[in-house]
Amino acid sequence: MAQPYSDKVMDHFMHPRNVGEIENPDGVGKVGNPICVSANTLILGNSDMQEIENIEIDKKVLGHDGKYHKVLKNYKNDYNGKLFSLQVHNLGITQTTPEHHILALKTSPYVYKHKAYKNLKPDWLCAEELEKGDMILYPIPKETIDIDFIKFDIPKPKWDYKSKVLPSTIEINDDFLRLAGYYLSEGYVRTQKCKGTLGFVFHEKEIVYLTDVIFIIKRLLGLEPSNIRNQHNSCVLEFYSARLARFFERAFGKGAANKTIPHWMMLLPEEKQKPLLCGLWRGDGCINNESAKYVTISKQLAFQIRQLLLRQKMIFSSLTTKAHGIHKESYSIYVKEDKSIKKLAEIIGTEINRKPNKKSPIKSWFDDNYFYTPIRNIEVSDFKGKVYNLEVEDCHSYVSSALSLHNCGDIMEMQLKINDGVILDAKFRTFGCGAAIATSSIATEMIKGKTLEEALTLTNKAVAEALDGLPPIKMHCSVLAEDAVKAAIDDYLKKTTGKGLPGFKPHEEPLEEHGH
Amino acid sequence: MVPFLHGGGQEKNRRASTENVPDIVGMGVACEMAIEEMAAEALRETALRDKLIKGILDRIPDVILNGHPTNRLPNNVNVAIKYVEGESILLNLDMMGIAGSSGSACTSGSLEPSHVLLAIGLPHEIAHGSLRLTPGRQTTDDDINYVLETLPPIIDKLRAMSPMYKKGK
Repeated sequence: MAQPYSDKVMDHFMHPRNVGEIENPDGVGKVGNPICVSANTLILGNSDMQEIENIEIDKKVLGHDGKYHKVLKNYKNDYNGKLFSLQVHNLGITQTTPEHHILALKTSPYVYKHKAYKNLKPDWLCAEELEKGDMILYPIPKETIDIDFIKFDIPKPKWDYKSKVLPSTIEINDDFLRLAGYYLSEGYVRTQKCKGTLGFVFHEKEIVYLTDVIFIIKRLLGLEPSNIRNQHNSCVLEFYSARLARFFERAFGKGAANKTIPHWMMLLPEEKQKPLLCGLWRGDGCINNESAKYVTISKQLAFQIRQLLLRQKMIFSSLTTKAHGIHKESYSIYVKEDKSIKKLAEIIGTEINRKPNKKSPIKSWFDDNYFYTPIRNIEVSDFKGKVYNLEVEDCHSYVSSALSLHNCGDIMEMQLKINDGVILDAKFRTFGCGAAIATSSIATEMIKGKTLEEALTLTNKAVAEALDGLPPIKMHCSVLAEDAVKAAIDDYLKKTTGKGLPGFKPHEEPLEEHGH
Repeated sequence: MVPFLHGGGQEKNRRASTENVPDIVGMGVACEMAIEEMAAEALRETALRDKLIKGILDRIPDVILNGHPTNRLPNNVNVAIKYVEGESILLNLDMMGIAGSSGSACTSGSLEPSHVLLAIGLPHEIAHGSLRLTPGRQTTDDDINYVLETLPPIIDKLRAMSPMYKKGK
């Protein structure tokens, strides 16, 4: 096997110094995951999309395997250094620290040599290793739960004797899913005490969709429209049913900015999701020979539609713009790529006439598990403030609005025996690769017998140099070692003086210990 | 019809140049040997494989055999060793003259464990501790004994170092 390490690293790895635990240690430092993203990074969860700073323990988030996994910890770090802002084609921007591992394909050395791509293997690469033109791997949501019926379990209001009998279950069929799409785009509800209205507003040119809604509701629920009227250029269709209105409010939200697709619908088999997309696009979307576009002011809905399109393996691009009027932002999703727009037209049930495209260079593509799309630009900036990282069960990764991110699994524990400001003994335990073990071993040697002040001057660079260097991808191990020493001294000072190390900001602090 | 290779007039001008004769002969000899020895060699290696699997499972606690106990290649041993990391097992084995491969390709610069192991349902941290050993034609019974003597102390040493491992758990 190729030896990636210096003799010094191998010596400390094979014969680690000071392994184990100290009885009644004076200071203990535990570190891991020295990698982070900025606080407003949007993380895909199992029912919504949230800023990383708001993600709670036990919430499930999407992993790079396309499945949902539990969040075990949310780390918050004070950070002062470079932040890499990766702008990904089609998907958007995510900011990370330089060492954060991102699932990618190193294609930038092979521009216009697409045949060479098939010999490349995807890998977790540091943000600072990535370049413009490298391909990001973005997971296709994989979890599927098929449901045939849902309960219509809205109780009848107390004084309601005259309302029509509604079925107790609703079949999850093409009709219902298309209706859901129509509601999410064009529907509204008014819910009062025992009155309620489910309404739809269609443009006068879309009377055919309005008719579709009338027939679907007739077939599914046996209800006739209560009111159809013209209003400006639109046509309004209303059903007076308190229970129906509440059902739609509960399932899909009320008001255009709050509409969401229920999570169980996001898990339906992709074939069943086609009528949902059909209803959605007929409502708030448009399609012509050149491109298709969907516009919404609901952030959640916009991301959910992206997930639906990923499942259909349709290439899209998304754009956030300032909206007119009272709304803050509006979200547009475009489908332009030849195959994708044809697929979409088929789903919507319209015909488009596209001239065969001139051969354009491959920009994005799908395989069975991932959407591959290039990095368009990387900007580096200085940042001072909080950064975040998640620990995720099983798959150790999570997905932002633009990247698949890894939470690296090295864990290092440093224990110190301290007397009169001098480190009498230091011991460590480390789970990890050769470099992780060697750096912790040499760090204990370098601080033993030293005063606390001296030990605090230990830098990760000094650790790496003492080992005659580390491979670049293993440099983060030396950062761990430096942090472990500082964290242990910080712990000691907190125990003895009640105050932590002045000026020391641990690279991470678990949120559940300090945040609540 | 366009020639496959241009140049000499071999194969009626359709495939220029002389064929790779040594490889063709080699392939023939390899097939000959396989026909003669494959059945017996597979049996011999299956025995070594099973001895190695049983030995590892008996001597090291918290080990999972990856894959089916018997429906597997005659020469494939693949185990997940909990609480330790693949690269550190490999480096240690390498120092003792044993060549293996790991569930994680840590040394190759990748931090991602084997996608096959993940696909058969192992969680990441356990897939990271996976070890593959493959006996071959030159492997002897003594070699297996040597591995079985060498591996357990290595795992003990690494587990003693691992904060994830708690004795008696």
